[in-house]
Amino acid sequence: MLRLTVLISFLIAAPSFANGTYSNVLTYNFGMATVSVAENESSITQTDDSVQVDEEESAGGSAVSAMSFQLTYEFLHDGRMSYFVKATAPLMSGAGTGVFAGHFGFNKYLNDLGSKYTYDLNGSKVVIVPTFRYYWGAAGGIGYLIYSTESATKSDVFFDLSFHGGGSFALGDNWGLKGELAVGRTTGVATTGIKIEFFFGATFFI
Amino acid sequence: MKTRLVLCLFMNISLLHAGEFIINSSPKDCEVSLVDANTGKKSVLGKTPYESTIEQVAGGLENGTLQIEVHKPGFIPYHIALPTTIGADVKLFANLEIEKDIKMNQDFDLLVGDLFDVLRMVRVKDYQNSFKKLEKLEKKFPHFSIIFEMKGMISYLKKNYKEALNFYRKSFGLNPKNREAYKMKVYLEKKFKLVGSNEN
Repeated sequence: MLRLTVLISFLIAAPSFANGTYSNVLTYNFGMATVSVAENESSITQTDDSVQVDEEESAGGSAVSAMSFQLTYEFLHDGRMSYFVKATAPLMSGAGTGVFAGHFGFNKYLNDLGSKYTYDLNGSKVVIVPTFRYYWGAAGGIGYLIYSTESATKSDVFFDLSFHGGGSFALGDNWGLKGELAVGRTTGVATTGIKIEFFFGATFFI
Repeated sequence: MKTRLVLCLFMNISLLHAGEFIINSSPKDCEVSLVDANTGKKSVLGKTPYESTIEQVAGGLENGTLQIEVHKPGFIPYHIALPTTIGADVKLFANLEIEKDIKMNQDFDLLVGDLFDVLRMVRVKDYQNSFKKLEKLEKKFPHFSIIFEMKGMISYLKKNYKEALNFYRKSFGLNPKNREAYKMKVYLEKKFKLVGSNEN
């Protein structure tokens, strides 16, 4: 497939200002963020033999599932790739658990055109809006996790790396629907876990 | 496996989707043609506003680009090469420019009409408005000596001889073949022995 930027060319090139741009994309998503949490075992070992320890506390496990809201802003689009920042926050969850997170990552588009393309020249204009877009990508970020064990509600700060894939369908010149699935590994101070997220929402070319 | 199936399903839907292809233009009713890149042969698709699908227009094309011409008599033809991107809507707005000789004729028509207006105003001694009109014309036609000649005439009638001489000099400087400007310049220089502030 030929690159769109190469293909768009005027046969009559007027010696004046011309500008072709890919739109940035803003997405509002709602969905489920699930993190299976495993508490790290303590690395501190008993050195004082005079103290008797009757019980050893084993590492606990838990799972956090929360209906969440996600806001994503894609920028630096070149038609096939974009970078994004996104923020995730819980909306509804059991016992106040949930995941707050902020990420930075990239999307690699698998179809010809990953964003709305606009080209202006002397009052003439070409607008190309991709109907279907598919992508995969990776992201890294930090988050704050609130989870419950049998005995208490705890929290942890974590770093996570995730891979994601998704698609969107344009319903108009400036907006469409979007779905995304992400899987990642979280590594926190007190926990490690596997994160699975799926989100659906509306996406806007801005 | 399921993910693959879903992806395949989406991609098949994408291939089936007929991307809109819409062309609008200014002025309207322009002829839209598909140009064969190899032979240069044109086939007329319709008139603006034109609506079709990429697949319909690009049917049979092998090189993946559409060469479109939007044309109307009296205007410079607008050409563009577009990719035959599957699964995308393409909207084109062609702003056609008037052919240069037609535009020049229109400009001259405007100039002559406005100069007649200026003369009418001078006849009724409306020097202020006539001068304003000439200043507007000067912005659009800065290299026309007749405008400065008429400014000189108005200044002369207002008895601003020094200013009049400057305008006549400017007029003569722009067009040394302007005999009236030359005559008045020489007349004012000799008759009143004036020296203009702007030597042109």
